[in-house]
Parts: sequence; C-alpha cells; structure tokens
Amino acid sequence: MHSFKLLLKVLARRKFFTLVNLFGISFTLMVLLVGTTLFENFLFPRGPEKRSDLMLVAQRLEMTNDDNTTTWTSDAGYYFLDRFVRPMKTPHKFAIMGNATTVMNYQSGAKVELAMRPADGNIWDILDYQFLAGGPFSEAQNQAAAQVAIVSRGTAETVFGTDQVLGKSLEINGLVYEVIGVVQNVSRLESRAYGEVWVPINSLKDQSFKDKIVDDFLGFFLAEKASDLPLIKDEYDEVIKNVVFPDPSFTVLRGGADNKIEMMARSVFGGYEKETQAGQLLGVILGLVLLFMTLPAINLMNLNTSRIMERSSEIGVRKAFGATTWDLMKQLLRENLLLTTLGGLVGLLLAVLVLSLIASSQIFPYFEWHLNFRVFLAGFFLVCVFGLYSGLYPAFNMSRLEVVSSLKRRAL
Amino acid sequence: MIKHYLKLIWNRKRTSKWIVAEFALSFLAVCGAMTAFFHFYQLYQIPLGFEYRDKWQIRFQMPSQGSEAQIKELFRIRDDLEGFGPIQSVSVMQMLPFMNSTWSSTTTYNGKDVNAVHNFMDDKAQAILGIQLLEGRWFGPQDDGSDEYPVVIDSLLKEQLFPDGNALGQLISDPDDSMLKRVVGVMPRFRQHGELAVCRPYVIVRADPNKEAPLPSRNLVLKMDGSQTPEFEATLAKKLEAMAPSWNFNISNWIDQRENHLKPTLIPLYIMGIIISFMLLMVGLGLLGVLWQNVLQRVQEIGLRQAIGASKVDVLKQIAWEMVIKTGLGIAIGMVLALQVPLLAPLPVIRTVWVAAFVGSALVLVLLTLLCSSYPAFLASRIEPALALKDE
Repeated sequence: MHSFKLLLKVLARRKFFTLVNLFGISFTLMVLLVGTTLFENFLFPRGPEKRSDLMLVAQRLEMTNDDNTTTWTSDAGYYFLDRFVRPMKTPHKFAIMGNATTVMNYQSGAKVELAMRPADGNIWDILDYQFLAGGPFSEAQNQAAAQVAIVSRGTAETVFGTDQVLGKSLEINGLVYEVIGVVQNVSRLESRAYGEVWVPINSLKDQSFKDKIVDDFLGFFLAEKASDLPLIKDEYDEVIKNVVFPDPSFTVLRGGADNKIEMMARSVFGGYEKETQAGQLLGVILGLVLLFMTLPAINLMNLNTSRIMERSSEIGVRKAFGATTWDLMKQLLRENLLLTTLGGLVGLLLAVLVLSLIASSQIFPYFEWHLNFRVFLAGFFLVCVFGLYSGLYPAFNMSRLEVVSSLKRRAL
Repeated sequence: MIKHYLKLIWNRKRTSKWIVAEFALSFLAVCGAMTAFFHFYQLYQIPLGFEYRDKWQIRFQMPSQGSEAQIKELFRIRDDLEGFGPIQSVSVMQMLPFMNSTWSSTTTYNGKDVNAVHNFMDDKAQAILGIQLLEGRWFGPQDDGSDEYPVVIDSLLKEQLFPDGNALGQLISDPDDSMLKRVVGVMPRFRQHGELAVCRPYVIVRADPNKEAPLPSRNLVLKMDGSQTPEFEATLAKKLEAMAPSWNFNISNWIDQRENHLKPTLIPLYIMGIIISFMLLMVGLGLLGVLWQNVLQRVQEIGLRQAIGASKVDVLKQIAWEMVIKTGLGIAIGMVLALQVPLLAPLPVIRTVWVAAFVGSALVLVLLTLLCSSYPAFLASRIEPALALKDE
C-alpha cells in the first residue's frame, strides 16, 4: 500500500510523462487484447464448434499424376469422403458438409443473400448447433432427399420478418424447402460451422458432385477422447494413400486431417502433408507480438531513463541510508509494473470499446465476443511481460548511480 | 560542426542509443506500412482494362463436365436474354472478374515459356466490357470453323513473348501443343482481379459454342442500360428458372463484386494505417518528453553557452541538430535492416515503390523529430544565463 501511494505521488508529479506513458501502454495493450480476443474466440469457440478439442476436419487435398505435371488443389470431394473416409474405424462420429455457397432469396421483397451449407444428417452429432425451435433433419431424411431446411435466427428474421418460421416455405434456387428448425446465429469466426441455411446434401438440384475426389466438401471427425486424435490422423493418412481414382489420369492424393490451429497453419504455409507447421505458426505469432511490443517498450524505457536525473537525489538519499542495488531495482520495477497495470486497465476498456465496434460493424457477421478468464489471463501476462521488458534496463541503470554524484546533482 | 554534435551524442550514449534504437524500429514500421501503401497506390493507378459499371453477372452451376449441349444451351440463354427489360446485351465469359479463381497456363512461343492467365470470351465481349484494342481486331464470325483458337493477348504478354517483333498473326501454344492459339489482337492490361492485384500476362480465347474448351464457360455478363433496379433481379431470376430449370445460378452486380473483392485488401491496410499513426504519435510524445527532460538537465551547459556569446538561434540549432543526427543514425540502421527484405525475399513490389517508401518514411521521421524538438528547443533558448549559472 505504501509503495502504491508513493507511486501515485511520483506519477502525479509529472503529469505529462504519466500521460504519455499511459497512452503508449494502453494503446499497445489494447491492440494486443483485441488480437488475443479474436484469436481466442477462433481457437476456443463457444458456438457449434464447442467440441473443437475432439474434432478434426479433412478439407484441403492435392491431386497429382505420377510425374507431377498436372496438379489440382481444392477441398475434399463427396465421393472421396463418402466412399473412402466414411468407413474409417477410429473416429467416434463422422459427417460431411459442403462449403458455404451464396444463394439468393427474394421472398421478403428485397434480395437476401444466404450462406447455404448442404450437410448430411450426422453433422448435428458433431457440431452443437443450438436449436431455438424445431429440430435437425435426420440421415434418413437426407437419404430420401427431403426438401427441408434449417435456418439461423438471423435468416428467419431477414427473410420472414419473424422467428416463428417452422413449417414455412423457403425458396432457394427455384426449389421450395420446408423450414423444420431454427438455430442460433453462428459467428463467422467459426468458419467450419458457419452458415445461414442448412439443407440435406441429397436435396440439391445438381447431384454431379457425387463422383468427385476433390470438390467443395469437408469431412468432420469427432473423437471419443483426445488420445484418439493421432489414431484418426494415422488412419486418414492410410485412407488417402490407398484411394482408387475414378479418373485414372490422377494417381497421387495428399492431405491431412486438422484441428483449428493446424488448419490456420496450413492456410498460411500451404502444404498437403499429414503434418502441418502449427508450431512454426505459433512461433511466428509470438515473434510478431514481441516485435510489436518492442517499440512502445523502448519508448517507455527512454522516458524512464531520462527521468533518472530528476530522481537522482531521491535515489542518492536512499542509497546513503543503506538501500542495496536490489532494493532500488525492486522499487523501480514495482513502480513500472504498477504503471503498466494502470495502462493495462485503460487498455482493457479501450479493447472492449474496439471489440464492440468490430461486432457492430459486421466485419465478421454474427460475431459475438467474450472477454473470459483466458483473455484476462493473457492480458495480465502481457502486462507483466511489458512491465518487466520496459522496466528492467532503466531500473538497473538507476540503481547503479553513484551516491555522491547523485546527491550533488540537483533537480529543477 | 557535425563532428562536435556527434561527440555530444557519444558522451550521452547511454540515453542516446535507445533513442537511436527507437528510431530504427519506427523506421522499420513506417517503411513497411509505406511500402504497402505505395505498392497498392501504384497498382490502383493502372487502368482496369474494362468497364465495370452497369454490369451484372450470372454464374451458373451446371453438371460437372460441360457437355456440348450445355454450352449451346448457355449461348441460347445469352441470345434470349438480350433486350429483356433493362438488359442491353449479353456475353459469355468463362472467368468472371473480382472473383477468387484464376485459370493460368503456360504459353509457349519460339521456345520461350510464360505463365499467363487465360479466359474465354465470346464475340460480343469487347463491346460489352469496353476493351480498347491496341492492335488487330476482336473475334468475329470470320474465326468460325478454324482449327486454331483465336486469342487476344495483353501488352504485358506481348512484351514478354515478342520483345522485338510483331505479335499479330503469330501462333502461340502450350508446352504439350494441345491448343494452338493464333494472336488476332493486342489489348492493354486486363486486370481480372481488380485494381489492387498485381498485373499478370493475360490471354483471352474466343468462346465458341462449336468448339471444345478445356474448361467450359458457365457465366454470362449483362450490360444494363442504367435503368435497372434491384427489384429487376427477382424478375430475371424467375425468367432464368423457367429457361434453365436444371441449373443453379447466382446473380450479382459488378459494383458490389468489386467492393467485396477489394475489402480483404483494404481493411487490413486501414487497420495498419491506424495502428502506425498511433504508434508515431506515441513515439513523438515520448520524444518530446525525453527532450524536455534533456533540456532541463542541461540548463547549466546551455546557460554557459549563452553567457559566452551563443545566440538563441545557436541554442535552437544545437538542440535540433543533435536530434536530427540521432534520427539520421536510427534511420540509417533501420534502412540497413529494411534493405534485407527486398534483397532476400522476392516480394511482388517494384523498385520505385521501395525507393518511395524509404524516402517517404525517412522524411516522416525527420519531420516528426523537428516537430517534437521544437518545443524543448524553444524552452532551451529561453534560459536566462544569469539564472542558470547562479548555483554554480
């Protein structure tokens, strides 16, 4: 408490410096907190992708011939997933869902663009869509090509102007679907589950996708327990190596089943091997964060160092009365940490503001952000790293001052 | 004189080195942002090569391998749509602009290989898209029945494949000679991916309903007369459903398409710009603080200088020079570091952009320094020698 009061005194004495410091710290931490929150919401989703830690997705594939002269890279095809991947033994559950395609609807009088996802009846066992009304379609309904659709709440409101839409008809691409379920909106950040309308794969007008190895589909695996995940990857690798191509001009297929961070690594570094460069991706992100913190840290360091002289008499007196270098370093570091904590609090407020702006700007449709314990922990960690990072050198410098010379110098 | 300032800076190297480091880092950050900004600005200046206003597109999703009947059907729909409501004319196009797919293939002439983006367009596309030809002609009925594929290439491909000769009438091909292409015209650059994408060599092949194509065309481009309303889209959709009941389709207009296509590039640029400006503000304020403190510490020194005859201007000059030298050192270090990027990593950025970014960021930093040192320098010049020296 005493050192806290002392700090406030020190801060209040030089308002300009305090403000500049606080501005730098809070702005830096705000940017980092916004980044952390987005990353956290991506990596640990709360929506349908809730069970991401038990989920793997087969998506990117590369198909080539023996001498590598023709390559075709795309997402997985229905034939490959249905014929070769579905019979796999290690996954607890498996489902196929297509990528979102934009479809148009004119029922409300205005044009509404909807992200439609064709899915099989097993997807509801893997992705936890939250049903507000009605229920999912079953695999039997998918097999029977039933013209039924699940819509998100947002879709219900834009197309029909109400969320009481069960049994209503939804017109998509000249087909009429009966709405049998309404789910909570899905955040765009949950890219694997994102959609606005879900229909049975077999109900699509054009069924030509059924003979393709690479196309526009995703295979979702759910493991019973986390220790099964490597087994699924191994078996998937086996499956991929032993695919029989309907089109004999291609002979080699490559790809891997990924969790979310591996998916990100694959999209950044490319590559179609079983293993991804997820470790490298985390290293690069950490490096960039450190680099981003360096400039404000040096700025803070400069300000602190230039204030050594101002506080030299105070330090001289403390030294003359027997304070050790370590005592002084502790005091100065504590001051710096408290200052960064203050800046961190302001940064947190700013981050909340910016996140609400992002949420209301529709950059990521249906994005809802959560500042949870994990983000707080990350924020606290960042504040501490920043405080130590920018405080160590000036503290060391200050504590090294000679007693005699520092007492002689006077501050203005 | 500069030597003297360098000595003063060296004597205070403990604080000076961190200011230099701060400038080196700031230079790197500003230079990165400016490179991106100038790079996209330079690209934005190059004409698009076609007119995107008052254009609608229809994308069809039809059964996988386009059979001959399908292509004929597409051409029939094209002709039937002409004159329907506000539609002026319609053309068939394989790859639509402002979308994320590209079809590229190696083009060979005289043993030289160039990778070029390919597209298929019909005879009416030139008029609809407003493509200005530099030489030769567009496709027409005179190309009917030939075994070769007539193509229009862009000036970039002409420069690379025919550096000193005439491109018109030449036969170009691909490495395995599966498609012989006769150059009938040369156009300026065609920028399928919009104003912010890097220009690539471009080949437009004639879309011919009677000829097999490696990738079937599935899209129509509609030129509207300007009186179209968003409601017309529903009318058009109804008509298309009747005309092609087994195909899925998607209507959109090119103004929206272009905007959505530019967004993923523009939004990160805006965010980067905002972050960099705040960082510069922070650096500037920090510098102001450091210099202020610096002047307060050097009151005696400055007082002494004034007492032995230095004018206020001399004092101002000293403070500004010391700062400019530190900035210069920081910029030099930052430049050496930043130079590694164009030297080591081949980024698709032209040299003028690098030079502009280097010069621009150096200027910004020097300006920032002068701005931030002006108030402390003013304070220093106001020091009264008598007051400053009375304690000595």
